[in-house]
Amino acid sequence: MSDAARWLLPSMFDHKAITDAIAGPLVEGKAGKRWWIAVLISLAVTGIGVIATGISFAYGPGMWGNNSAVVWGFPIANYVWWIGIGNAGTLISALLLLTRQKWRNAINRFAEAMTILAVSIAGLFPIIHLGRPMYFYWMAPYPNTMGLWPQWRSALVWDFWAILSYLLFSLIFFYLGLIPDLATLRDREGPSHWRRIWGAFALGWQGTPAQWRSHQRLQRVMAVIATPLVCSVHSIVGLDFAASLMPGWTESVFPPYFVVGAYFSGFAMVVLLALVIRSALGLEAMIRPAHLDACAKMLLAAGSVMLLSYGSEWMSALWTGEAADLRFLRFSFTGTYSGLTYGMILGNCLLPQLFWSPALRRSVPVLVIVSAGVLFGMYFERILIICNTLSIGYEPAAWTLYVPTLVDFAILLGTGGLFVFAFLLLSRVIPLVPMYEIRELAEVAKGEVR
Amino acid sequence: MPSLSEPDFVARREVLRLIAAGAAASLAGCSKPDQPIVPAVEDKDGDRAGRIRRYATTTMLAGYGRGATALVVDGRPIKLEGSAMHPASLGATDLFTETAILDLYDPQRLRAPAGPAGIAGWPMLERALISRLAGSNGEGTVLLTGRVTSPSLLARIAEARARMPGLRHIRSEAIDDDAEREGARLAFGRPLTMRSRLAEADVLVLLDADPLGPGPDQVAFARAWADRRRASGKPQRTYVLEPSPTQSGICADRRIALHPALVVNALLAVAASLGTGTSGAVDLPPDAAAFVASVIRDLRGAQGRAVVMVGRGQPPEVHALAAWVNQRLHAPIDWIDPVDPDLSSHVESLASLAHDMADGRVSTLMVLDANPVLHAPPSWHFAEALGRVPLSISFSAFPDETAMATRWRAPLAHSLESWGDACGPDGTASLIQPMVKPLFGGRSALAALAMLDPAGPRPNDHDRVRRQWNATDDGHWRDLLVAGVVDGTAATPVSPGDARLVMPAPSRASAAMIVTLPPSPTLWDGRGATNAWAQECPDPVTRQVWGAALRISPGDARRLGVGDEDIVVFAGLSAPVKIVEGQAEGVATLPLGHARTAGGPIATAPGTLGPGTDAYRLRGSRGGWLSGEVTLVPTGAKAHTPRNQKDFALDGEAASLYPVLAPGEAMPKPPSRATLLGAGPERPPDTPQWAMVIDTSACIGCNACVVACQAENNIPAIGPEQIGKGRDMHWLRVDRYEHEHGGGYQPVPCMQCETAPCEPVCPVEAPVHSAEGLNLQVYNRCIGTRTCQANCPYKVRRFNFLDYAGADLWGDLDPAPVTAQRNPEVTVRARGVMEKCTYCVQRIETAKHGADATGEALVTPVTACQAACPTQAIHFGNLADPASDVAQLRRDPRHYALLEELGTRPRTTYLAKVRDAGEGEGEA
Repeated sequence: MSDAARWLLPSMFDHKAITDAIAGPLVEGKAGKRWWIAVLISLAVTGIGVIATGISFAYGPGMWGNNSAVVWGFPIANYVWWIGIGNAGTLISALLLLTRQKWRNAINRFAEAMTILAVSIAGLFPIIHLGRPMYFYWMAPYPNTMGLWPQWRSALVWDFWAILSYLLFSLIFFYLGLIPDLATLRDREGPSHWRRIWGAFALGWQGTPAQWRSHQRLQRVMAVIATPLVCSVHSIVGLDFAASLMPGWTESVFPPYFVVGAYFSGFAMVVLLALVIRSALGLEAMIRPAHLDACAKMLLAAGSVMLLSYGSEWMSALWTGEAADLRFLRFSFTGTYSGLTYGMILGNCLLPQLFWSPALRRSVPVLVIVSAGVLFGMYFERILIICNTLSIGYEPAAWTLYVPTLVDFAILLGTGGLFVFAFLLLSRVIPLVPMYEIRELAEVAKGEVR
Repeated sequence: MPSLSEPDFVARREVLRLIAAGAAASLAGCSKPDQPIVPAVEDKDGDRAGRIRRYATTTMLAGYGRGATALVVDGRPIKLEGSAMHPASLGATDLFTETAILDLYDPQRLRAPAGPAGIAGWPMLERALISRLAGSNGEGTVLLTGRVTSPSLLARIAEARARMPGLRHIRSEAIDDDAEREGARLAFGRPLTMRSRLAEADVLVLLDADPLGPGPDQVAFARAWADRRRASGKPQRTYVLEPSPTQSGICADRRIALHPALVVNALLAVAASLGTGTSGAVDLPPDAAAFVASVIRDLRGAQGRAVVMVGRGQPPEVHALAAWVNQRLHAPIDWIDPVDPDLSSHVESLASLAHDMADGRVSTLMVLDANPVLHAPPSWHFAEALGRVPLSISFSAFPDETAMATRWRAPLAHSLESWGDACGPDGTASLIQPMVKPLFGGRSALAALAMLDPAGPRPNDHDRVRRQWNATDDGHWRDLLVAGVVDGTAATPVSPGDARLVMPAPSRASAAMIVTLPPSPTLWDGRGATNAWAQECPDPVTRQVWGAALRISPGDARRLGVGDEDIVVFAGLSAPVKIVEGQAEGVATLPLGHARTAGGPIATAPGTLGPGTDAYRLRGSRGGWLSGEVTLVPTGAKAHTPRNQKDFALDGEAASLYPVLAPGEAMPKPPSRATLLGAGPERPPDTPQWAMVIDTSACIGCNACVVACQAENNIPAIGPEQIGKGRDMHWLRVDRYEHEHGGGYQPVPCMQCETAPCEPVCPVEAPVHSAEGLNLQVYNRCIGTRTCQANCPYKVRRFNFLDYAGADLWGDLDPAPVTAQRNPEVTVRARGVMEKCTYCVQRIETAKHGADATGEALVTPVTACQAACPTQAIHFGNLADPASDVAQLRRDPRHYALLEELGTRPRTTYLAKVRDAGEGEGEA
């Protein structure tokens, strides 16, 4: 089989078939019972999170498990985890575009949608977690009568900008890619009010060669900008911790290690979404086993890098011989949270090793298990980064363990519900697979077959 | 509880009067007392709004007065400090003086007399008394008090008894000194009180005694002990033999766990070495025998400079023998006639009252500020006997167990609301000056007595006290009030004569478990249980708050198969276990005063472990501070025992957090290390640079500083549930550490780092550095990211996870009165805001304003913790002045900074603990 044809079944070599397959299930078609059930469940779960957040706002952060020593807890772990997931979409779109990976065409749209949703959710946590969330905007430099500015030395301010710019950029990038498809939807038969909305957002796209040329050029330029941005956003999250002097945090490896960890968990989420979308929207012809195989290879690579990062972290503790670092290491492996440490190693480092086998890379159950394992493993990692360091700091008298509360779990669960809910809505109004890029792929594939 | 839904008993007019009075009281807020009070320092601006004025007064513990200074703003007392002129205060305070201010505003206080039918007015109570006492000679009438040292009150009682010869006055203090007094009687033929001059003791041997622990003498003992240890020359050595670790044991140079029954054997061995003519061979475990051998060796070389002290839990014969031993050692001890003129036994007189009540021989009982229902041994069935008294009245500040058992209860005024006087443990008299009119309509002890003796003349309390001190002249009275302390009233030492050699029989440890019952270091005899600050103050040994667990040794825990927080049942009680290193095998310890069944929502707060752990219920019918033999039975259940610190042991390199030096040894120079944190902020010239140096060698872990800080800085108590979640709000914590070289206490306020890790990480720059070196938190700017605390290596920042300042620990009661205690100079922090130690910046600013106004040099301010410290372990001052206290202490060879290697350049630094292990440690 030719290269391009690996990524597309011949049944999809026809432009009309592609358009029908992707645009068909949108608002023109019936939503279906399964969609409604999923919406209701995710809405209910979101509701739980909203109530839990409401409780936190009404009574204060005391509703969580945070304590005098472990001042950060689930909200910050949630933040880091979600922003990690939000890392993969733009990476897939940008880095794979620049490296001309054809397989990105089928998965980039929903990966970008995932990014926007995940980053938006992640962006909520630095606000939710505040003691006085109503003043979150004090982190932004805005003109005020007192002439007060944010503290530029604080990694949290860098973080504020990193998230904001990443979110804005991802939105623009996502929208840019959406324009030709919106025009397609506008031009198809369908409910007139939806067509009007799509039409407005299509910005008068006519598909002229000049437009295509500009579009492509802009997309590549943005991809070039995107790549460092993807790295910066999670590096800065890493600096939230690394720019400190607490044992287990002061590590120069944190920024790159956070970036790898981020795209790792992002890819795991992409795999899960791909599996769901493929079967739910009947896109098996476009999301091929070869796609899954490619993602699995990414997971394998990232998982191995994670193992290396952990190893270097442990090594540096061992070889500096700092009492505080050694205690931290001992606590990680033998302390109260050691179960999470082993779970993290299992999920992040060991399970992806299954993907050395080509057969397992294409096995749906294995993909589900490994991806879920990675998502859990990465969550464990986030919570351990916070709890290990803060529970056993320099002063033994202040050692305190962290125990999350129901409210903590409810907020985390609620964000999961919100993510699914928003995704379900999106799946009804925009094409989750880019039509024009699949058509492009089809042309290449046809050429290769001929 | 009296119910307002039963108003029938109160006449309509009375109701209207009460309502009017209530309205007036709430309008007036804190109103000045009727008679003029005199501030300690005359200050022409003193009456200006917001200005703090200081008045001399007295706080009470166990009936003894300790001189105090009340800080009053706009007529509101907001804090109590020590009185430098009073020998039981020496300018410092203890935990009980510090917590007393909260009692004044406590919403749990009784607000009106209540009778069998519910709330009543004072006139109804007076009528009830008059109808019974009119024309009587007092037969069948009993006045029950705790220890009374107040000359005015004693005179008033004598006056009443002169009129009513049948009136009996029974005094019974919960934590009695029967054994000490009886011991002196055995040795000298008359009761005398032993006053050790610890400042002169090179060798101090504490046999189950805890002079550094709670009690009316704590401040004086601790200061003398610390002064002796600070003095250059020959090091002081403290030996402690005790069943369970106490503050004295933790601070000792050498300590050994010893079964309380074997303490007598240890003393017999010591006595034998001093020539009792008996053999020193006694039954002691080998390690204890070796320990005693070192003690004997040391005592031999310390004639005239050694003191042996015996604890109140030991029998009189042991006290008597100790008196003989001390005399042979020419120990620096003064013997004085007892300050408490009542020489009867506390336990026996209360027992006789219980007996009389049960037999119906008591027709009227007035309990004045005592809680016998709580502390009487359970076998006396005191409450039932009390039920047989036709007219019983309890004057008490809180609805305690006795007040709930008597037919009438009446609110007793706080000492800051009444005129009075009291004597300290050494006999020094001091005056009690009221700062406010009774906030809750209570009456003073003197006024209560006037109700018992309605026929007597009725001068007001002020006039009575003034007459007591013959202050006919206004100037003289004024001088007395300014000083607070009456000169020349300290008891003069008497010559006790030769001590008779009393030889107690050697004893043997029983095979069964016994429980020792010491007073609680935070609640004393249970009085502190109503006080939220006291409840939230960590125990100096276990660091437990809001309750006490049963302490057992690791060996016993292994044998029983129990761990921390496992509930065991014994002798009808159930209590969670706390395994304590250094606890003697076969001995459990349960502090008194916890687990109250009445007193208000704080005393009975859920989480304080309930009545099951009331140690008083273990008292035998003859009193004493040991239980009978008990068997601990594990139940398999667990209870939550909130603690502020869980790990005491420092192993490996962590030991460097709490360096312990041998006498004369210097701290090793820390290796200099690269840091990215820079050299710290600029120091502008002519700007004071504040710094603190804390001498860990002098710290006795008494927690006075912790609560002083709480009172000064508007730090709320947050309750057992929040502490259980690992949250606490004390700006200053006293860590306790143990390692192979020794152990002790380390108070940890904010380090005020010059290169503070908390400052650069805050996104909104809420922590800022002042030119004077203070690391300040701008509460209004804080948005609560908590990044500062995450990055604080010392974990000294405190976060308002909930609305703690508005928190309602008082159940259904309106907590509004406690807000009147708040220091107007200190912001009350909102929910979601980070806070921390400020070096009492408000005091610094006040001092600077003073210097600006007068044009004189800045007087170095005194922080609240520093002012409270009984041993003067905390030093504060201007580092830029090379002559200052702190600048000099920084050059001390014992000086070190906590986690110096991190490069944070703390302004709060320490002097290392010195421990003189002496010879023969290996044997012990």
